[in-house]
Amino acid sequence: MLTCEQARERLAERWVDGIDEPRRMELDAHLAGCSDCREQAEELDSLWHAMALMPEEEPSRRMRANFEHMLDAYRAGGGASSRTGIVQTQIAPGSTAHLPRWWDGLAALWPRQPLVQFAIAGAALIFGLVSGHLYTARQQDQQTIAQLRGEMNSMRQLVALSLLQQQSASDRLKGVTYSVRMEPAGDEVLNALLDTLREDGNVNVRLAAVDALRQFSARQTVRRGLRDAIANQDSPLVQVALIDWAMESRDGGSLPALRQLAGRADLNPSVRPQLERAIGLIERH
Amino acid sequence: MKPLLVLTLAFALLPSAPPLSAQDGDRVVVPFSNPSGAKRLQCNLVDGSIIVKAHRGNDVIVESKGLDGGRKRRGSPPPGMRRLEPPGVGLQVDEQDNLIKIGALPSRSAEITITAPADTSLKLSTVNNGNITVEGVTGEMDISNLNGNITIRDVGGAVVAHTLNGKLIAVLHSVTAGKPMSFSTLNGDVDVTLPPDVKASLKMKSDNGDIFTDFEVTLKPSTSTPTGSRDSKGRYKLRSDRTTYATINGGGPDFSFTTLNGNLYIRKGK
Repeated sequence: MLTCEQARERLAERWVDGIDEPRRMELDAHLAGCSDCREQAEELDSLWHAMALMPEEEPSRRMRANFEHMLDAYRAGGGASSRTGIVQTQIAPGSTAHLPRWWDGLAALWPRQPLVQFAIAGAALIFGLVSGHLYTARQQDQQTIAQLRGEMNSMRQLVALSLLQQQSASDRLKGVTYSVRMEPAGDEVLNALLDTLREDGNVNVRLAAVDALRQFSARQTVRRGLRDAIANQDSPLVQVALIDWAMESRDGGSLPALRQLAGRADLNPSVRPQLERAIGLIERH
Repeated sequence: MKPLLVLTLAFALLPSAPPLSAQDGDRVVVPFSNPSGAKRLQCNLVDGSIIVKAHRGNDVIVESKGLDGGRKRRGSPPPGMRRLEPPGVGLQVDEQDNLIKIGALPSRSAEITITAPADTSLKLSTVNNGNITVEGVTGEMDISNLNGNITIRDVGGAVVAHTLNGKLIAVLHSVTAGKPMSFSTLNGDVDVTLPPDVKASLKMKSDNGDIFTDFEVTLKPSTSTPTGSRDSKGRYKLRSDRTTYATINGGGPDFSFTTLNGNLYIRKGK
């Protein structure tokens, strides 16, 4: 008894080389009992017959002419290659050829077997479809990524803004951290951070806001907000953080606010040394 | 409409009740309207101390007592007269939407002891003459003091705490994953014990003090580029933003530690 694998090998064999009677009977016995193999055999049969129906290609007149010219050229010898021969024939007066030379070069490469021609055409079609699909898919991917990135950024912005409004101080701290991670930080987020610095009831959250904002102090609005905060902050620790920023960035625009703070009667004595050092440094700068 | 429970105990005693001295306390039991929901408790004092402990019950027990010397007395009694002290400290307790608010008269120095379910989130503050102590709670803690200490022991969750002139001591046995924390003082030490397996990104700054830790920390370069220069005497000066960045166990949410004049101690718990 044949296995399916053996039966399929024998199927192919039957078409290509033909098989002897006992082997054919074995195969038929298997096909009678195995519906899978039978199906495959039928498919192969119909394919084979379909191929048999394809018209035999007749050599064209031009091909015959070409061939004869080529033969002549070869016989004439003269060291010329067969290919040169073809070329010479084409430029000969009265030639039926009206296509450019390269076309015949290409045409000579084109296989004459219809099956191979079909295979090449099929492969080209599949290649075209796949690469076209991949190309558009990649373009769509890039658009989708850009869109997603934009959405993510606005989502993060929303999350940051809503976290900054939370009752929990820890959540508001998270909001400050989120805002800093946004690239580029939008005006809305920076304004929210400035609001936090002005109005948040928790010293630690305001402190975090100063830390976050100093990274953006190249922007005019942020710099102005930080300077305003110097004179208006009540928490000594936040005052120290703001003074540090002004001193380290040698921000001359902070001087009026720093002097105003120095004049405040309720200034914490621990803050004064730092404040005076900052004023001195910025004035000398 | 949720029921609003307002218990104003000050001056609310029956006329037949015997007069109480200022040292006598009030005790009230307040239930949360939704014991299975998120519980929040706020206590803001102007003068005095707050102590919060955890218990297994669902109610909040608030006990208050007046402290000597807390109240400013205007002049001495006229001849032949004596001063009548109002009883209690003017304790006020509200409950609405699972938020219990506790307050006292600003003119009296009080010591408020609160016993609450362990999973209550706390917001506590006092200004003068008092310390804040929290024990055994596992919620979010937002605590601020001006002139006293903050002591947090055996807690879990997330802490945000600030005291201006006191010490800040916190011992956490667990932390809420992903929640940032922040500890700051102006003049006191910050001493925080964290669970040994905590994942955190530390941001530490002490302007005039030192930073100590027994954690295996990975130091990170400062976010602002330090600028170095050699002065006329050939001394090399390095200027950076003076903040030390480090990670524990690979990093996690930001934990900030800030002090101007104190030391920072970041301890590894057992």
